[in-house]
Amino acid sequence: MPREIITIQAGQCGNQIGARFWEQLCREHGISPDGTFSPTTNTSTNVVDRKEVFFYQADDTRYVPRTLLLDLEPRVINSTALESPYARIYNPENVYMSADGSGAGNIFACGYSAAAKMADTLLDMLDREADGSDSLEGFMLLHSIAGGTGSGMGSFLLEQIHDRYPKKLIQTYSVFPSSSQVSDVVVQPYNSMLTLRRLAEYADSVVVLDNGALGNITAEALRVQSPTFDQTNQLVASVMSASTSTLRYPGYMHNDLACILASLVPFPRLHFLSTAYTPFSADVLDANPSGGSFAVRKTTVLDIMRRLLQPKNRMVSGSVSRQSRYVALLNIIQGEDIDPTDVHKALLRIRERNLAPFIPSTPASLQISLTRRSPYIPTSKSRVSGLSLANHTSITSVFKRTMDQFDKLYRRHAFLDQYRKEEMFSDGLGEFDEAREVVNGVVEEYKALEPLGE
Amino acid sequence: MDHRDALDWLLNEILPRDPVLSLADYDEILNHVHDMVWAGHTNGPEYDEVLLRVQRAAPEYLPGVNNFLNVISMLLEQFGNGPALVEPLERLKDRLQGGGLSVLEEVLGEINGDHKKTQNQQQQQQQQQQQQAAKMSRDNTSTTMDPLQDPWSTPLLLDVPYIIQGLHTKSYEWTAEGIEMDKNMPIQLVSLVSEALEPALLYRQIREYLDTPTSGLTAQALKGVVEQELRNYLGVVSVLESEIRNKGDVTLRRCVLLLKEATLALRVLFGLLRDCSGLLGGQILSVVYKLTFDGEETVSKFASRILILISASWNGILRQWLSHGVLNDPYGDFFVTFRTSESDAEYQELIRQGKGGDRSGLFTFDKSNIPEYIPEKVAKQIFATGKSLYFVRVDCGLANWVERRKVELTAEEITDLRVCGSLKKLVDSIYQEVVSYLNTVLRDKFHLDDHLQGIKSYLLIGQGDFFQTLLDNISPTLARPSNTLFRHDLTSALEASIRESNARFDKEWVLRNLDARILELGHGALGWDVFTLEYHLQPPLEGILMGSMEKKSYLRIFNFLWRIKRVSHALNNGWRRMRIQSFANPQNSLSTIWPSLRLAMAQMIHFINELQYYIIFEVIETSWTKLQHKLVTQVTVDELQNLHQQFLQDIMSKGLLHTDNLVADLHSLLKHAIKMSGLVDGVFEIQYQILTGADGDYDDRLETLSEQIALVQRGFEQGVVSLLRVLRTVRDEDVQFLTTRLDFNGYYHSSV
Repeated sequence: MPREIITIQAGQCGNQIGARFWEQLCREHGISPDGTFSPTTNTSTNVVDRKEVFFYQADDTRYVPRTLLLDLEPRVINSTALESPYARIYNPENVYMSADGSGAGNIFACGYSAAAKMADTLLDMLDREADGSDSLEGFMLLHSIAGGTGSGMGSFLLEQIHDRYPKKLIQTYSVFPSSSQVSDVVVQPYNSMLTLRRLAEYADSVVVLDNGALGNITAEALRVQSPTFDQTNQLVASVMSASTSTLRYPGYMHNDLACILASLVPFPRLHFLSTAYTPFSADVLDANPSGGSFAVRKTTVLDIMRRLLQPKNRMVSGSVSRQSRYVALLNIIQGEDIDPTDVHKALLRIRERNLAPFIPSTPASLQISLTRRSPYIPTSKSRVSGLSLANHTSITSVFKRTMDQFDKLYRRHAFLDQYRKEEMFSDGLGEFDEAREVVNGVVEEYKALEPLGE
Repeated sequence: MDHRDALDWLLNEILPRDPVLSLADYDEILNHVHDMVWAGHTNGPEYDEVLLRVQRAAPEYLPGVNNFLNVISMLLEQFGNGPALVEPLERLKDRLQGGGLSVLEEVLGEINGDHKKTQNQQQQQQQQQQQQAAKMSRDNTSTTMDPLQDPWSTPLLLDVPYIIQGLHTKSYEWTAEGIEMDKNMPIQLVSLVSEALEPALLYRQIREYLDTPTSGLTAQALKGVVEQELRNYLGVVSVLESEIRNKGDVTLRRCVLLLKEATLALRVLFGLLRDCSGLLGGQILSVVYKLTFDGEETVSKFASRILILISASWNGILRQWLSHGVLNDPYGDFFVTFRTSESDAEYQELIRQGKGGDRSGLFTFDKSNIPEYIPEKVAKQIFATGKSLYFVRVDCGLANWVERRKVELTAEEITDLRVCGSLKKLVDSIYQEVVSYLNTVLRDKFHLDDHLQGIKSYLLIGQGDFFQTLLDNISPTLARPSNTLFRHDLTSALEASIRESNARFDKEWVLRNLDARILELGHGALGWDVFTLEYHLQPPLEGILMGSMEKKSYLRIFNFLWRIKRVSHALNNGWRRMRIQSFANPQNSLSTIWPSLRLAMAQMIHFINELQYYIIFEVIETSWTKLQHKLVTQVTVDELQNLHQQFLQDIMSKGLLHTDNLVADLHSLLKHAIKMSGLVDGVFEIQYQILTGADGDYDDRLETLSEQIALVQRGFEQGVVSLLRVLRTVRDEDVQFLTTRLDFNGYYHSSV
C-alpha cells in the first residue's frame, strides 16, 4: 500500500513553494510536464520509485499530483501553477481560487473565516482526494504563517482535518517570517501566534522554514545579493523532495511518514523541526542550466554531515545557546553507492568532537537514513547530498521572538480592528491569550529538556 | 703360461720361501690377489683393498705383494691379457727364482723406465674406463680363450641365451631368488658370469612386474612400452644366440659386451617399474617425467620418448575433461575424482555439513595425482574448467554448447617438454572461454543477479515497502496461535503485499520463488513465532546458493530481521496512536501515565532504529557491497558458492548471530518492546472507556498498568545496559560501533 500523502498548498507562499515542489517531483519521477511518464534518461527497467505516494494515475495514464491548490485570489496560482509548463498535470477540480479574488488582506481572521464560509467546498475536495487513496498516510500543508490565507485558511484546515481524519498524520512546511527584515505587514505577529497555536495542537510535525535563513542560504549558495522568491522556493522544494525521498524511493527504513516522525518526535508537542540541506548550488544548477557558473564541489559524506550541523546551514535563524540540545536528529543522505563505513567514520568524528549535543534525559543519537537518488535525473555518480531534520531546543528562540513581537503589539492592542470584525473574535480577544499560552507551553516543555545552566 | 699360472707359481713357489705364514693367511692374500687380477683391477680401490687386507693379515709381506701386484698389473697393461703376456711372465719367473721377492723392485724399475710413454696413455684410457665402471664391465675385447678348452665357460655360454630370457636350462635352474651357480665353478669365473647374467635377473623381475595385474590406463600404457622394450631386448638376445652358435669365437666376456646396452636398458625399465608400482596415472607420469632430467643422455631420451607414449590415454582424459567436462577415467588416472562411491550415510553427513546436495561437490581434486609437469595452479584451472563444463552441460542442461566444443592439445603441449609454458597459456584461454560462458549463462539464462537481489530484497528485508505492507496485512493473522494458522492465510497476505507494494514490479521469476511458510514449532506458539519467508531457487542456482547450510543461515537471519521489523512496526504504530491528536482531549486521570509511557517508547524506538541501521547498513549493505565487488569478475561455480557463503558468514558474525547469548539478549529486549506496545493498547482501552463514559474504577487498573510500564521499561533498560556490556567485550570494530550508536549521548554510560 503506497501510504499516500495529500498535499494542501494554501495562500501565496504555499502555492509558490508547491509549484516548485511538483516540478521537482515530476523531474525526479520521470514525469513530463504533460503528466505522462517519459523518462529522459536511460534507466534500468527496475522500478525503484513509488510514484503513487504523491501522484495518482488518471485514466489516460497521466500522473496527477495529489494536491489541492487553494487561495483566496487567483493571481498566484495562475502565475505559478496554471501558467507554468507543468500546468496540465494539476487536476482542475483541485484548484480553488476565491471567486471575488479579494484575498485575505494579510489578516489571519479573514483567511480563517473565508475558509469557514466555503468549508463545504474545501472539505469536498479533501474528501474526494482522500477517497482516491488506498491507504492514506496523511496530509502535508504548505503555507506561510505570517500572511492571511496560508495562516488563516491553513489553520482552519488543520482543525478540520484533525476532526475528520483523526488517524491521519499532518505534517506542515511552514514558512516563518524573517526575523531580521521588517515586514510591511504589521499584523504579522498576530497571524503567526494564531497559526502557531494550531501547529502546536493539530500538526504532528512542523518543518520550520525561516524566510530570513532561507534568503541567506540561497544568497550564499548562489552568490547573489538578494535572491528571488523563486530561488528560495527552489531550496524549499529541494528540502521537501529530500525529506520525502525515503517515502518515494523505498529502501530498508523510513518508508512511511510515521517511521520518520516516530524517531524525530519522541514528545508529541515538541514536533517543530528545523532543516539543513547541502549542497544546494548544484540542485539549482540542475534546474536552471543557464542559471550561473558554480563549480560543483566534490563532496564527501563527512563534509555533508559536518555541514548539516553548522548553524549557518540551518533554515531557521535562531540563537543557539550553550544549553540548547538536539532532541532528535535524522540525516537523510542521498547518493548512489554510499559507503556505510564513511558514515560510520563521520559519526565517530562528530561524537568525538561533540558536534551534536543531545538532551540527556533519554537515549538519543544522530540517526542516518541512506537513500537513493532519482534515477531519472542524471547526476554524477559520486554526487552526495544531505538533508538534516532536527528537533532542536533552540527552536524556542523563534517562538520567543514571535512572542516578543506579539507582546509589543498586543500590549497596545494595536491593529486589532480587522480581527474584531470576524466571527472568531466576536466574543473578545481570548483567542489571542489562549494561543500565546499554548505557544509558551511548548517553549517551556522544550526548555525543560535542556540541562540546567550554571 | 698365462697370468693364472704366474699366480700359481707365486703362490706355490715364492711365498713359502719367505717367513712363515699360516695357510689361512696365504689363502686370504691370494684370494684377493686372484680376484683382483681376474677382474683386471690392478689399480684403484680394489687394489687398495687387497693391500689393506694383506697389511692386516701379514704386514711383513706387504712390500713384496705390493711390488708383485705392480709388476703384474704393469705387464697386463703393457702386453694385454693374452699370449703376449706369457713371455714376460716367464722372464719374471726366472728372475724371481733367482733372487726372491727383492728382484721385483728391479723388474719394476725396468718396466717403468722402458714403458713410461705407453703406460701414460694407457693410464688415461684406464681412468676413462673406470669412470664408467659402475655401469659397464671393462671392455676386454682381446680375450682369446678357447671356449672348447674351458670346461666351465663353454656349456655356460650355450645356456646364456636361454638364461637371459629367464628360461630354465639343463644345467641352470631358476629358483625364487635367482639362479643357482655350480659351487665348483672357479672363483675366477664367478664375477664374469654374474655380470653376464645380470640381464637375466632383470628380465625375470621385469616380467614379474608385468605379470602383476595393475589398474589404470597409464600403468597399462607403461607396461605396453616395457613389453615393446623387452621385445627389442629379445631381438638382441637372438642375435647373440646365433653368434654363439655360428661363430666359435664368442666368449663370455663378449656376451657381456654385446649385452651391455640391453642390460642398461633393462636396468632403467626395472627401476621404472619398481618406482611406479602401486602408483596412479598422474604419479606414474611424474616418475617418468623426472627421468627425462637424468644425466645419462640415453636414459633421458628414453624417458622423453616413452612419456609421450604412456601419457596418451591420460591426455585423452584431459582433452575430454577440458572440452566437454566429461570425466572418462574408470581407473583413477586423472587428478579429478568423481564422488560416486560413498555410502548413503556418508552422503547424508555431507549434506548435514552443507557440503552435499549440490552437484559442485561431486568432484574432488587430488593434488597428489597431478603430473609434475603441470603446475598446481594450472591443474586447479583445469579442474575448474571441467567442473564448469560439467555444470553447464548437466546442471544447466546446455549440452549443445558443450558438445560443439573441441579442445586440441598435442602431447607435447601438455607435457610441456619442448614448448615452455604452452599448457598454461592454452588452459588459461580455455578457462577464460568456459568461465565466461558459464557466467553469461548464470546471469542471462538463470538470472543470477536478479535472484541475489531477490534474496536481498525478501530474505534480508531490503524491500522496505513490501515488508511494511506485509506487516500491515499479516499482523492480525500472526497474533493467533500457530495451530490455527493456515498456509493460505499466509500466502494470500503475501500475494496481497506484493500487489500493494513495489514488489509487484519485481521480475516474475523472482516473485515466483517467494513463499511464506509455517515452521514446525509445536503447540503453544504464536503465529509470529512460526512465520517465515523462503526463497525457493531452482536448479542449477539452488545447488550453489541454497544448500542446507545456506537455508539454515537464511532462516536464522530472516527470523532475526523479521523480529526487529515486527517490533519496529509495533512501536511505530504505538507512536502513531500516541501522537499529538490523542492528547488534544482534556486532562483526565490518564495524564499521569503518558509521560512515562512516552519516555519508554522513545527509548525503545531509539534502540530499535539504531539496531536496524546497524544491521542493515553496517552489516548487510557492507557485506553486500563486498559481494557485488567480487562478483564483478567472472567466477566459477565454486567461487560463487564460496563468495556467497562468505557473505552469509559475514552477516552472521557481524550481525551478532554467532554469539548465542547475544542473540538471547537481543530477543529478550525485543520481547520487552512487544510487551510495551501491548501496554500502550491497554492504556488506550482505558482511555476509550473513560471517553465513552463507561462506569468503573480505573484507578486500580491504571496503577497496575503504570507499574507494568515501569517494570517493562526497567527491564528493557537493564537489558540494554547488559547488552552494551557484552558488546564491549566483542573484539570487532563494527560491533564496537554499535555500542557507540546505542549510547551516542551517553545516556547509558553511567550504568555500563
